[in-house]
Amino acid sequence: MAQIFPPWWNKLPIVAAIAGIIGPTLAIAGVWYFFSPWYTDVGYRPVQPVPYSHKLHVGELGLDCRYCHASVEISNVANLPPTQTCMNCHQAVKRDSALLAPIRDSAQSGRPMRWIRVHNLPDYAYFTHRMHVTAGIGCVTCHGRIDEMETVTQMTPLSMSWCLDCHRNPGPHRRPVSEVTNMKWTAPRDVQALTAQLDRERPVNPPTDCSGCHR
Amino acid sequence: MIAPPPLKLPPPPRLRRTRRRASRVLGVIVLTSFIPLAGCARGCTSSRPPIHLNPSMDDQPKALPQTASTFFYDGASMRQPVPGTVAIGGLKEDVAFFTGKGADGQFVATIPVTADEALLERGRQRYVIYCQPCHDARGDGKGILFQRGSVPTATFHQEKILKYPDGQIFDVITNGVGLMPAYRWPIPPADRWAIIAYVRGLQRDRQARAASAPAGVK
Ligand code: HEC
Ligand code: HEC
Ligand code: HEC
Ligand code: HEC
Ligand code: HEC
Ligand code: HEC
Repeated sequence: MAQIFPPWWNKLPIVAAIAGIIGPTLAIAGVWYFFSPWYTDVGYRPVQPVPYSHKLHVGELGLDCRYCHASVEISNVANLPPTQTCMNCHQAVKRDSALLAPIRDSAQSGRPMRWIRVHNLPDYAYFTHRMHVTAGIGCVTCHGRIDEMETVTQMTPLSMSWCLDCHRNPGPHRRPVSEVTNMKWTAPRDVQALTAQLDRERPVNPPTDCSGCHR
Repeated sequence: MIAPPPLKLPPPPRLRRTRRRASRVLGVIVLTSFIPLAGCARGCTSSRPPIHLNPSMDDQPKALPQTASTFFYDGASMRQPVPGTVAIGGLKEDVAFFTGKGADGQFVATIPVTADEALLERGRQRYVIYCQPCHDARGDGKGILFQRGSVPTATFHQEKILKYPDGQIFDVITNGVGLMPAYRWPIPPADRWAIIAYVRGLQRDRQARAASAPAGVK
């Protein structure tokens, strides 16, 4: 009688055991690694219609964030600057630069520039810049070293767990409100004393209940 | 007679082939699992939009601030109020405060708010953000435009501006002059007055220093 199971089937239990461990481990590791917003979202760097460089304008020329993103302290949204803000200087500096042609067109026609959005929360999540900036959370905490970026890149996952990690313990992330736009600020050696002082001057109460952010 | 030792035969060819195949399959699995890693690790930059694993209601069909619109003729979803609209609490009755001109149409001579410590501090902050880039920290007009574009930027320490009534500086900030752009949009009126208070402080400091310096030293 011919053998139904050839001899190499004897290896089946070992092969199955190894595959049964390696397979799921790889699958879990893969989901943990590749499905996380740290993988899908962080590092997004769209190509903008004008190669505007924060590294030049902020890092080198020393402009303050609020010169352009003026509504960041008073509104939910940190506005992108209107074309006129660029023309404040570029009517006089680099006025013939080909790179700035879209800006000049926009200034002449009155049609807004179409910058490509980098940071984007889902529409069901409520976020407000005003409350965070006036509570002394620096731009750099959420947006990274903008002053070293040629092109704006998303540096944080903006995921719910990331928001909550801070909301449960905001103390160590706070700084004096006057240093909010300072990209180079470093915490003093005695962080606890600073935190305690800030908490006394302006206690904060970040929401951790669902309706705080999903309203 | 001693029986010859059992022959050590090589495994039959079929088994050899499957074994080789099995190890090849395993190798391919291990290798392919590293391809995505080699291609792009966490945090690597990409110009492709982020993948939304569960797009459910991430992009709702509503108008958000500063978004494009296919509906309105100018392509923007944010609308301008109809000319002449007055928001609740937005009636600008205090003409001097909002235009820098008195009822007689003349520039007001002094700031129409009380200049205290808080106002000066606010003025310093706003000056650093909005004026310092061009007029520099001391108001000499040696800022970015002057350094990078040789644009003559007015110094605050010239006779002409020392004599300006406060209302006229307010008008310059609001409407601009020549190459000096208008800063009506980013600076609300209260902050414009605070900046003026600070600029006056700069001028006073300079004059006090000039007066107290020994003759010949400037
Ligand atoms: C001279 C004007 C200017 C200044 C000053 C400036 N920005 Fe910007 N910023 C822009 C423009 C224009 C864009 C849109 C183009 C882009 O994304 O590169 C932008 C985009 C951004 C974005 C991305 C917005 C998005 O689409 O998600 C962030 C974050 C940002 N800026 C933060 C900062 C911070 C922080 C500072 C201060 C350190 C700063 N900016 C200073 C003009 C400016
Ligand atoms: C405070 C003045 C100022 C403002 C406001 C400003 N810029 Fe500039 N920008 C400069 C200067 C100065 C340079 C040239 C630096 C140099 O000398 O190379 C420059 C260079 C550039 C360049 C490179 C041009 C080239 O040909 O190399 C681009 C692009 C640019 N700016 C875009 C923008 C945009 C977009 C905005 C508005 C969001 C803006 N700038 C607002 C001062 C300014
Ligand atoms: C607590 C974290 C946090 C801080 C602090 C913060 N941002 Fe943001 N920023 C965000 C998030 C989240 C978004 C995306 C908002 C959305 O999609 O609605 C964003 C978006 C932006 C945008 C794009 C326009 C918008 O509002 O959607 C700009 C510009 C910006 N931030 C600038 C700034 C500047 C300048 C500062 C510092 C003064 C700052 N941000 C501080 C989290 C932060
Ligand atoms: C680095 C710290 C930090 C991060 C990150 C952060 N927050 Fe906050 N958030 C705060 C603090 C501090 C407050 C409290 C402000 C107060 O009480 O004045 C706050 C308050 C809020 C509020 C309440 C505002 C109000 O009107 O009462 C909302 C909503 C909010 N955060 C949403 C978010 C969302 C959404 C994210 C993630 C995208 C986020 N925050 C990330 C620190 C943070
Ligand atoms: C600090 C603000 C904050 C609080 C508090 C919060 N959320 Fe969220 N939530 C977010 C943000 C931001 C997102 C979007 C994350 C992303 O981009 O994937 C989100 C996403 C979600 C999603 C969608 C997840 C997905 O990928 O589709 C659900 C469901 C959700 N939240 C439920 C809750 C519930 C339930 C609570 C209360 C226990 C809660 N949230 C409290 C900020 C918050
Ligand atoms: C983008 C660069 C720039 C910025 C920012 C700027 N200025 Fe000027 N300013 C100029 C230039 C250039 C002139 C010279 C105008 C001329 O004579 O054509 C000037 C002139 C002036 C004058 C004299 C006007 C006259 O009648 O001769 C005053 C006053 C003044 N600026 C005040 C301010 C104040 C206050 C701020 C801050 C809110 C400010 N400027 C911000 C570029 C700037």
